[in-house]
Amino acid sequence: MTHFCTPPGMGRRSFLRVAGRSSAVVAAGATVPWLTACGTNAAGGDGGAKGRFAVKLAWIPNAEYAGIFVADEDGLYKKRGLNVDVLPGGPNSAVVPMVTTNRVDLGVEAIPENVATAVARGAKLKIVGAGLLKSPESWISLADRPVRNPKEIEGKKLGITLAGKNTALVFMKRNGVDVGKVRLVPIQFDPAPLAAREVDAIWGFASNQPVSLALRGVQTHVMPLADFGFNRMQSVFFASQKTLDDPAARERARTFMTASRLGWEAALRDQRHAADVIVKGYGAKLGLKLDEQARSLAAIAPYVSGGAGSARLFWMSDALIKETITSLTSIGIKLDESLFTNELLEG
Amino acid sequence: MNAVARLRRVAPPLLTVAALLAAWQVMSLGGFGSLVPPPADVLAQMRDDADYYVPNATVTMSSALRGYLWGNGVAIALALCTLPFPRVQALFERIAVGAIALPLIAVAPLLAIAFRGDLPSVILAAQAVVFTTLVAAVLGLGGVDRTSVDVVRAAGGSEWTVIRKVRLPAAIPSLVGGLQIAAPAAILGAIIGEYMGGSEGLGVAMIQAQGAFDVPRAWGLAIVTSLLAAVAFLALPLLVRLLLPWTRVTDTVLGARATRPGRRTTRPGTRALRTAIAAVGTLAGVVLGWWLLVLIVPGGAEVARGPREVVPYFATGDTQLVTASGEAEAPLPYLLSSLLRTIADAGVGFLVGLVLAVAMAVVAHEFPVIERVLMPISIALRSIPIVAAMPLLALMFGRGIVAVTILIAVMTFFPILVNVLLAMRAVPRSAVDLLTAVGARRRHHLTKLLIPYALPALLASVKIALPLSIGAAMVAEWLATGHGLGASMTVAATLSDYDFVWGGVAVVLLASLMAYRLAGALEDTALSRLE
Repeated sequence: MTHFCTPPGMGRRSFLRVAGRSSAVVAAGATVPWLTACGTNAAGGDGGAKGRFAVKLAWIPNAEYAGIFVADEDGLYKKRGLNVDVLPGGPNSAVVPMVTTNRVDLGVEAIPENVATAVARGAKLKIVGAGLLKSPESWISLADRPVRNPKEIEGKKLGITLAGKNTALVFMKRNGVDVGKVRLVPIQFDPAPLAAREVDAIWGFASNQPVSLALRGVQTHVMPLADFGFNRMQSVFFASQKTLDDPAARERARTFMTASRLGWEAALRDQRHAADVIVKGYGAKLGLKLDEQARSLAAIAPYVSGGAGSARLFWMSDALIKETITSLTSIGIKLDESLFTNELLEG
Repeated sequence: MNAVARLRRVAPPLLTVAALLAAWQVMSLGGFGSLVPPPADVLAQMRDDADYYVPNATVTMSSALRGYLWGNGVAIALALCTLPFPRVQALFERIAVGAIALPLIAVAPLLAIAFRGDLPSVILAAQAVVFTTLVAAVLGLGGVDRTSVDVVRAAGGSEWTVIRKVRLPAAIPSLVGGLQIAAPAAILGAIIGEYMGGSEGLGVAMIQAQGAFDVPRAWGLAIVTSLLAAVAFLALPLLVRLLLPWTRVTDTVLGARATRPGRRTTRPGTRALRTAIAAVGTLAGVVLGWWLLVLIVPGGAEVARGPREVVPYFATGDTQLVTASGEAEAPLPYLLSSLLRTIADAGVGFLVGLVLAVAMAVVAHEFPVIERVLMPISIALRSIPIVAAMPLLALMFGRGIVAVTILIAVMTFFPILVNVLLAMRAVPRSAVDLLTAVGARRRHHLTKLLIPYALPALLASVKIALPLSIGAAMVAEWLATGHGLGASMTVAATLSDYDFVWGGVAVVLLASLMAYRLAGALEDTALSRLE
């Protein structure tokens, strides 16, 4: 068998891309030895791989990732020698597996539960920063039929995403809700069932669905989970232990986090510019609307900064980590402080 | 063609469009107000969005086309292989059933870590067409007129001459039908692929529009998607006629009946033994295929689990899955109760879809006007992602068994309708003339000619629809009810509980293959009675 190796100048990312493509045509037996032989070599410390960095998002490009887009547009990554590949997500995106298998250098997951359960099942991952220092997760109901506290959930029909089903069930139990009197139905990312009064409340982000609905004249009432003993960090950045152990990969990840933080600071300072970047640069083909993205960004801003103006972006304070652990433990997930590290945010 | 005839041809589809527009206008004024925008609003939005459709549709159609070519190429190649080696037909069909039955929730992470760019979309588009095209091609190649074969043989022709001169030309109509069915399926497959992540494409645009509660825009996208699917569906026969002009004459002679490969035995002992061997073989095949799949993808062990991990998992029963009651449950009973629910959902949906499609095929055959009215609707139903239509469907039909049944019927109706209608059309003209000459009524035409003639196609459609309805039931459970395997596997995947997911994959594959065998046995029995 011919033995292929990474040609000089071929980065690790492009190598994987080629390898991934070849495995479509090459039979399993031929591909796997090739990958192990050269894959370890490439990850070890090839000179050409330094500047490329891939990050996988959980959702399609929008205001939730404003800081990353601004950092890219304003050249904050380039200035530090980093060539960032942003891979958008979607309803069926598999962020955790792509980070676990080192297909990307860093992932962003909307809820820390997904990372914590993967770690509980043996994945070697660490959360390296919190995009949202306060949880915007809420029960959203119509303003004329509001759900103001957990007890009022009883007897209602609620729309959830299946991904959040466990969290929803346990949250209700902790708050003394008789789950037998609640009907949970799966809705996906679409707030339409609430607007059409098919369900009484939906599980969503305070910074998201209420904004879209308000823009189209539907007024909502928002009941944040954080107000009922369930606060945690969200939109978490996470990396594999392998990335953190490899000095070159770790340095790239640190550079990415620094530039992204500066990007978010810029986005919060000049929200008009940030919305402009999202609409023109990333959402151009999706027909995003400037006004909508600006409002969405304004809505998410307090959660990014954690409310208090002095907090450092992405930084996971001991208090926030403790709160996250308490919340996740309360829904039956086993985790401890070792899941979180601020090491890429220091200095 | 004179002006009146042309008007007669064009009028029904136009009237359908007009009727649909009227119904739409009425709905937008009624109780569905917030989910059904008035047609004028949607048209205005579509005008504003005009230059946004082109780049997004280009991306999606490029993936769909590549998947379409690959999937159909593979299916046709496999079908051709069954000619010199009839014994492999069952094996190939089983592999294709496996391909269609693989749940997206288990496949998505594998595709994500193995492939970049739009390749996952291309693969999902190909996966969506392989099975139906294979069945259509095998049906066409097998369903030849026995006298023609005898004539070629008597004239000293070899098996190869029979294939070239009789089987291939005879397969064209059925194959074209298969390729037509595949067109909307490939587009839908590509869109589902885009749901795994992307920055452009019709699927991504649809997610954006729905998430932002931009209802007129979401409707505009659904209309554009349906139009593209309809154009592909309608253009295919024209394209074939242009490339292969001789296929225009599809008349066969009276007395023609398919020669069917395969052996049949009447001795119950032998039959029982064969069934047992087949069951064990199927089980072994599932385990082997499953294990190979885990090996193929580099790094696949992170997201795919082989029997060696899954069996102990279900034996020891450690899980974090929470069931509807809010309590954690042992995985094995949970898996089995989910499976039973899925099978029940699929069964009901399958029966309703089958009855509706056959009834519709008969009506459409007797009154061609009805076909021209119905086809646009069924193409639209087949090509719009259910995710996009779900909020409206839930509002109209709830989220119980009615909604599930409708969703499954929508997904299985179209292939059955196309296949059966095609077979009814292929009834030899001489036979029709004969019955007319002896003064037979319409009912006799139906019972003596159409139904017996369409039976092989109908049974082939059952073979297609049974595994499809299991997949469709899982989609319905994921989107509408939140019960059954479709839902519990999704929850397990978000918890990285891949042991449960792959346990689910194994039982779904097994159930689909058993359903397929059942349909095959039914086919054998029915056709041998007929002979």
